[in-house]
Amino acid sequence: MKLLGKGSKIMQRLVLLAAMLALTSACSGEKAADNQPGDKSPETTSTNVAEGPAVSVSADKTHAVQPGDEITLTVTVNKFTLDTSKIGKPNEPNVGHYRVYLDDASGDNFLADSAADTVKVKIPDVITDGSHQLRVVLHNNDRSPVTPAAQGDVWLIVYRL
Amino acid sequence: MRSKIKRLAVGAIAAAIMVSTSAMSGTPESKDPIILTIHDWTGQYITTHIMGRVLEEMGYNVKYQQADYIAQFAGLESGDLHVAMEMWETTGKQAMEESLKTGKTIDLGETGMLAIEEWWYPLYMKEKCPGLPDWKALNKCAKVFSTAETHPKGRYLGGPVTWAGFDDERAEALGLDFEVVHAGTDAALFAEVKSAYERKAPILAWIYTPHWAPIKFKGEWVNFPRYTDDCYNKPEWGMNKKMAYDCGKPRGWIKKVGWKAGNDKWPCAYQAVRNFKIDNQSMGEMIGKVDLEGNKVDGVVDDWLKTNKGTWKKWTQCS
Repeated sequence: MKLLGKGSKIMQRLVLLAAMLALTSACSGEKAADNQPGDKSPETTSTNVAEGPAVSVSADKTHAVQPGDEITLTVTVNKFTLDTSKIGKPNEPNVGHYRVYLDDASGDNFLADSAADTVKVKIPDVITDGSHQLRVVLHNNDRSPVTPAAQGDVWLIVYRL
Repeated sequence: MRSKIKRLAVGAIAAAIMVSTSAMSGTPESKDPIILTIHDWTGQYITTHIMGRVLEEMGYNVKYQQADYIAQFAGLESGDLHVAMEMWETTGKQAMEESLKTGKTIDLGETGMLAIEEWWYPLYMKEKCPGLPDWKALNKCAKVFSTAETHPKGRYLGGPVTWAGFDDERAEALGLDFEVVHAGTDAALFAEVKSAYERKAPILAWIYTPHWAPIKFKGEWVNFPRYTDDCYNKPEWGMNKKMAYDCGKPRGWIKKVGWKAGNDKWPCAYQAVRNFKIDNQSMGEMIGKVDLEGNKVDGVVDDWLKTNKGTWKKWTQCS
């Protein structure tokens, strides 16, 4: 190697740099794969929107939840202000509230509508035994969902005894 | 006056020391080892080692003995085995009740965990078998769940044979066009579920909780006719008037059970076992640390004992 000229050394550095970039990209790819919905941590998850508001949520109980149980969710927002007094008022940038949905529910079919840091939601009495998702979705003052969507979720194991 | 107060204070401290010592005095009542049974699933390793470590803290000698989940009752009745930390209502209720009737074993109470273990499928299978979770939908999509070996019957991957659970009988009593294939081990069961889940391949398998699987893998349990004691004991009960087991498994408690004479031999140890309580949340997280993150059981147990000293110390109080 010592016999190689200056041009070769530059090439060597370029190859090294390319290898490092490839490694970094592979690592970030792996991280992205880790964040697939099926692999999320049960207690706290969030959808990170690069530029806009984001929300994360955790639950006081995720295992052995029974139909009718009350779950307390703790909601944390980033680049967004939660303000109950503004619900129904004209929209302001990055101000609003959130709705809590069960699984694929949407629109006005929500379990809770709040701007508090914590919220209690009741798991419906009629629900299948298995995995269920509580989704916290940020909404504007006029009750429309923020765009791009900002959502945090938590998965529960629900079953009747 | 000052010296009187001083004497009173010294007396109070001495009394406090005596009271705190008396909680543990006389233990261990015998140096003979208390034999805790070990089975073949991660959660049971964890609960048993937590209990074993607490008993050792109390001064007892502890041994761990591998034993079959149901067959262990022979050993618990004879005194060759002493304490089993996880007897699940879902699969062990009948065997435990039979054993208690002999008068040689003793119910040491609930662990605090609430169990379900039943036929389970990933959520993506609902599209391929729209009638789920109703069990009646299974026969309509038996082919969807079939493999080359079972076709045209569906394939149900059950737990190891030693877990009991009457799945073979259930399939027959409910007239299910499914072949029950038993996984060799707990690890093999979850490895196959994981592999199928990642490929979105059809799978119908025995999934239980407390466990990480129902959080990691999104799915539902089949909704069988609800269990009653009569379903298992009286063939005339339920839709199949000639066969028992035409219902789902029981759901509920996970209990501790022990050799009855051990209660007289190590009363404080048995009291500590009775006091043992843990919830699904903690257990699911610990099992995940072992199975998913590759931690050793001993390390996970160590961490739990360090961070929950206030909890397990109370178990050691002996009245």
